[in-house]
Amino acid sequence: MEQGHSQGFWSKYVFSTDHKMIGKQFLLLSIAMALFGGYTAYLIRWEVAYPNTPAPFFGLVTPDKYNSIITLHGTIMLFFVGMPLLAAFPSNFLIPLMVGARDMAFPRLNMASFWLTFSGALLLAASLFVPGGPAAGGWTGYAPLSASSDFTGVKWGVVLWLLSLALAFISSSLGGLNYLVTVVTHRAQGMTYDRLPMTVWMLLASAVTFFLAVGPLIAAVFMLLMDNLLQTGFFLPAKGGEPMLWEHLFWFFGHPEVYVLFFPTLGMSLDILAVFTRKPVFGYKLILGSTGVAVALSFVVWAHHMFQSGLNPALATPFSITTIVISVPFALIIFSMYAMLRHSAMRLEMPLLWVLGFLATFLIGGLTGIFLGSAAADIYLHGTYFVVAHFHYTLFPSVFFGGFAAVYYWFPKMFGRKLNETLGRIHIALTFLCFNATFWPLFRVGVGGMVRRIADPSFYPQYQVFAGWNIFASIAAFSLIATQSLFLWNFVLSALHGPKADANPYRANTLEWSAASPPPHGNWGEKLPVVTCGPYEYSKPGEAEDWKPQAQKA
Amino acid sequence: MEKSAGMETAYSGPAGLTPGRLGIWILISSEIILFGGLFGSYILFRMAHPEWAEESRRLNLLAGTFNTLILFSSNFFMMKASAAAEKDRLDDSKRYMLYTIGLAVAFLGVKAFEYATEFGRGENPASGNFWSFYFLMTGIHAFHILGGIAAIGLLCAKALRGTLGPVKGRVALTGLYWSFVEIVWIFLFPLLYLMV
Repeated sequence: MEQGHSQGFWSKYVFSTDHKMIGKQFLLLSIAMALFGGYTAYLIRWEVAYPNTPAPFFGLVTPDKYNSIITLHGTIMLFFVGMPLLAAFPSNFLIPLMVGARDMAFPRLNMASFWLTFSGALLLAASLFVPGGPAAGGWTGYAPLSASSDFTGVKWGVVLWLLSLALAFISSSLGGLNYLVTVVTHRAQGMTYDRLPMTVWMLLASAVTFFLAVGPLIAAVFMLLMDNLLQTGFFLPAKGGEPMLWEHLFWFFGHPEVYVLFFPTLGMSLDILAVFTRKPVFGYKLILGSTGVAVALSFVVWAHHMFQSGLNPALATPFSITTIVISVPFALIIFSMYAMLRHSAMRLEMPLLWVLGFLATFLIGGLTGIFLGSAAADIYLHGTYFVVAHFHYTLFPSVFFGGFAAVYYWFPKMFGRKLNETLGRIHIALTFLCFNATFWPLFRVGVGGMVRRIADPSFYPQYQVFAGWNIFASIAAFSLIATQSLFLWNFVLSALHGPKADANPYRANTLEWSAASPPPHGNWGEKLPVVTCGPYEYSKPGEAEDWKPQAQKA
Repeated sequence: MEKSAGMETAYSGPAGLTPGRLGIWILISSEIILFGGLFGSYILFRMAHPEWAEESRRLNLLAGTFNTLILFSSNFFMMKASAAAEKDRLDDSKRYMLYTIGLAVAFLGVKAFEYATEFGRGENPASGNFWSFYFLMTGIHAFHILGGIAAIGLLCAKALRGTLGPVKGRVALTGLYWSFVEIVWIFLFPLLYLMV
């Protein structure tokens, strides 16, 4: 290697402590799990559009299988696609490069964190093969459905599901610890806090939010494990337990979790916007302040998921208010992004297209969230497909538009090669079109009153009027999934044979672009970079160049 | 593979805040939230069920009190071990850590004795929510004690091999964690044994 080490295959590619390799491992894991998650999405949409007809490559999606598939879909997409793709992959790959460190503060802990998530994914996959099949209580694992096999007929699947969640949570907590310590103690000379790129700030916000939210759920996971294995009754009313307690502990984590997935996309989008609009981030300190407010508020909105679940109605109003208030800091951040587009010399390169797609679609998700935050509207809409459309309009833009933006933008840094433009642009356009065609009709179906969480809509004659919309949405969903093969092909082919990329193909300021592409082990050669300015010195009046890298050659 | 020799690294945190120290505080803060969720759930249940006092009275108060004292003394020796390591008296540090481990094992022994009598009386995690909480909370706490024994044991092993010197700072960090485990017990003990 660059510094004269020889590394074997195992220590370089598998049990690596290099933050860049661990970042890529998380990326590959999330891609593999997204294929699995996409397959479950295909089965769900098949059953809704063509009930009681065998799905190609699977067979008949019976109601009990449908419940398991829904549970797998949510769990996979949030914890084994969203978390690795948006929290672990960019944090590992980017934080040391962006702050000017040689590696994470605790490289071996970092390796452990990857293998914990990997084991969690294996346990979840193993639940396909145990008696009773995988967990079938929904990805939220609502008690008592998840607390006793009397309800879903699944016991070992629930146990494996809980263990896999526990491993994923511990992994993300250890990761978050590492990111925080690295940023506090491993910044290069001159990299003061007010010179950190937005990506780093937002990854920290994400890590801290996760950290503060997940503890009670880990406790609840142990309690639910005992309910399943030791016949306790923490969440079983028949044994004096309290199912609402699980729901509170789950959503106390579950709602902040959506921001855990949203913050990284905001941060990376802001950095990508700055590069391709050649403008500084609009309102750096305003965005940081808003983020702080949003993190704090994210812990007092959880019960808006429970307006229908037997929550004391007196609590609905305060939670409605906090939910509507939390849209203010996020609106400030999104409007800052729009402000960057105004009067800018936009270069419509692929990463920027993803960010524009994110802005356009997330807006719809955010606005429909305000409807749902109001308890009165939510009581009607909560059980319907409107909610399905809403959260896919928030999570799909965050996870996939944001994740693809990151992968497309940092691809040259990761592999030293460029992605194919033609394939990339077709992938972006088709993903945008098919995503909207899939989920837009579901708003209509939901407002019309079609209830979610049912396997066989043909059983309910009143839903026949929606059959056409459902078939339309399903065909769009199949196309959306098929479109991703373009990405896979482009990703593999370009990583191996793409045209060589320069160290800094976008003329970007942030520190990672002053390292070689791909960066060597240790990132910076003999001497660490010295930082002399902030990350957003673009188009400064009076300067000859429209950019100014943060690192000066030492 | 660790960082290559000869390459400079930068330190940017506040003076005295090593990565290890910051890391252990973050770990402790996440543990506080975990136990916070657990204790919060228990307290809510306990307030709704005054009759749990009856079951609480059946716990062995003497053994619990004795264990509290054991844990206090073990923490005392761990602090002595940190202070000794800081002053480079590594042999003293090793001795104090061995006392700490001895007392921690004694704590687990007493706890095992309590569990055994309770199981003997037919009280197990499934015999009602009080017992579910009791076994869950003391069980998670016992796992933290085991983790502490492992961590302190590793440091002792280093001390025996004479390689503690370069990493002697870890004694104080492990001591921080050990104090946290004791503080958890300080909350557990009254919640379970004394609220009768």
